[in-house]
Amino acid sequence: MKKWSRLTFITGVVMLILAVANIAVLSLICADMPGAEWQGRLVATLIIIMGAGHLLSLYGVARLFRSLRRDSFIRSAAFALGFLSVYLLAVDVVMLQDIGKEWTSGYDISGEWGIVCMAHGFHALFALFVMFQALSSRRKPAGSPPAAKDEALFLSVHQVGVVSASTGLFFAVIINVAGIPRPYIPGLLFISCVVLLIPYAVVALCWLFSKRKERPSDWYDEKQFADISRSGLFALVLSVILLAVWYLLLTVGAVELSSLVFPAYLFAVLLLFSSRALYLSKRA
Amino acid sequence: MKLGNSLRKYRFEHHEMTQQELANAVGVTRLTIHSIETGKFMPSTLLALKLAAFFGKTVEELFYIDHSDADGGTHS
Repeated sequence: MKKWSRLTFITGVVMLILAVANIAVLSLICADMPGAEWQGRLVATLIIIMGAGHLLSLYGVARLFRSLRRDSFIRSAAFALGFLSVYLLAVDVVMLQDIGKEWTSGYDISGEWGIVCMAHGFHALFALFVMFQALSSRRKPAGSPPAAKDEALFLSVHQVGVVSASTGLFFAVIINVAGIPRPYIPGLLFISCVVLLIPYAVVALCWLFSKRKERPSDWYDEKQFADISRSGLFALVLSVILLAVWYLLLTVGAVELSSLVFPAYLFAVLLLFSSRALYLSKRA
Repeated sequence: MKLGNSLRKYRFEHHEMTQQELANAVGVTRLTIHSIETGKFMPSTLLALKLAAFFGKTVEELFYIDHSDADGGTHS
């Protein structure tokens, strides 16, 4: 596994350098739009290389998940943010095309630049997580035998849940306050929800797949079962309170009915459930 | 009043076995053994019997009702 931790570390470093280089080139383009021929091609090339780096990193992280059999919050965060970062690469391409078109038509393009810069911030963050998880995977595990009853994947599902849900809540708020025209908000929220839930679904399905030869009653050991039962009750009670508060605000007219409600509710419940399950599992 | 246990003591007497080795032997996770040892989790009757059988002891030798407070003290 040393090979994969080294490879993901190098990929992380390269992606970080490329993200910083791209921001530098983009600021050159911003300063001199008419003469930005070669700079435009350079940015496009760097985005393609970053895309390949993202895919390689995600594959490497998934391999480390499978082989190390140890949970790592940094690795789970890298996995969850990786999908978002790949999506934001596609957003970069669309925004840069928009910038080109709108600049020639004389429109204001500061909003698009802001989105591209924020997306590059996420790419850099993902690269940092990839690097740190690679470094942490090089630490030698204690001389204990491998676990017969899996706990690393169980914990990883909840770690990815916490990261996906927190990022989802952050994005739901950002999309609503960023001044995006109202007709675009439901579509953007829907795509963000799907992209942020993919890593959680992937890890949860991997966990389910690992249990395919076991009877459902053996899927959890008794403490895991107690932990998820208590987390489920915790999430249920708090989600009812959250909905009651929202309903009250809606009734007095402090908020209005918007497309934010369902994504925010979904991510809030996932955050409550996963964070509580993680806390109960780890507190011993 | 809580459930005390001598799991750690018997684990060390049993060739200084690790929590993971014990967990594998009785079919639970390492965190479950750790939580039982620290008194954060009360095992089921089935798991208590499995643990006792593994060490060749009775359940009463492995687990007891701890009447002491959080500072520690006597147990019955």
